[in-house]
Amino acid sequence: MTEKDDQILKDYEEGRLPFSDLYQRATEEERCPDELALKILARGMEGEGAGTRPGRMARLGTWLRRRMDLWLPVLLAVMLLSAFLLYRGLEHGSPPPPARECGTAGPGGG
Amino acid sequence: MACYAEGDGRAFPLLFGRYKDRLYRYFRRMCNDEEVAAELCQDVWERVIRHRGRYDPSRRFSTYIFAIAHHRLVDHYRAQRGKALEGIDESTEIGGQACVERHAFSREQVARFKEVLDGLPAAQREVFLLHEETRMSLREMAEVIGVKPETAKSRLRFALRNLRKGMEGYL
Repeated sequence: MTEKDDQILKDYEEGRLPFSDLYQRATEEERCPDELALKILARGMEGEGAGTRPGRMARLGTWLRRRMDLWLPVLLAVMLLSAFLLYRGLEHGSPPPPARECGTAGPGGG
Repeated sequence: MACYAEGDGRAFPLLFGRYKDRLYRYFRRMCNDEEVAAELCQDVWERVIRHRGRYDPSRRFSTYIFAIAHHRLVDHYRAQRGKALEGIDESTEIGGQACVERHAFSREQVARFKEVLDGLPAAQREVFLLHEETRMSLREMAEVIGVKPETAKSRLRFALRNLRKGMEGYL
């Protein structure tokens, strides 16, 4: 790619090239045929229960999917961190119990 | 689309009204055949209707529907000619046809533009059409056609370069 190509793109995006106008002129009569449009429209409005609410399970599925999209990375991060901490704990063994200092009160009073 | 996905059938005419011609023109220019364009349009809308429950509202509808359209187009290309849309060399340049009468104005220009556009390699033509029909960003176009944003940008640049070359003597 050259700077000249970048300039073409810039000119086009800033409307200095007439291609968008030409495209509109070239395609202004190209429309989705009415017969087809009516057919699809009817299908979209009536077909397969459009106009009715999806079932409870379907809504629950959608809700879960959206929540999972959000929480899955967090869950994964927590799992990884837990696994790491567990590994560290096993590697170094359990920490020794705290040493009891002399003179502190033991069971039975001091 | 989010309303339609939730079951509001009244949202469909609005959605359809906004995108029916854009989608039709996309297929019409990509296939150069009115009947095939109509058939592919019908397939895409059928899929939107059938799978409306799977729509992710965080995505723009234009990106969603044109991604379906792109995949349908790729399937069509494979079935028809056994070649993949992406397989077409994106850096292909087409020859300019200079020294044609300048004074035969608008209609000639438009006709020539159509000719040059239809003659662009499919991969370049597609990014130009997507940009014109939806004003998608390069990143969104890349998502639709399944390439890197740099590739989409490169295809658009080549398309523009070829359009300019093809329109020499007409602009």
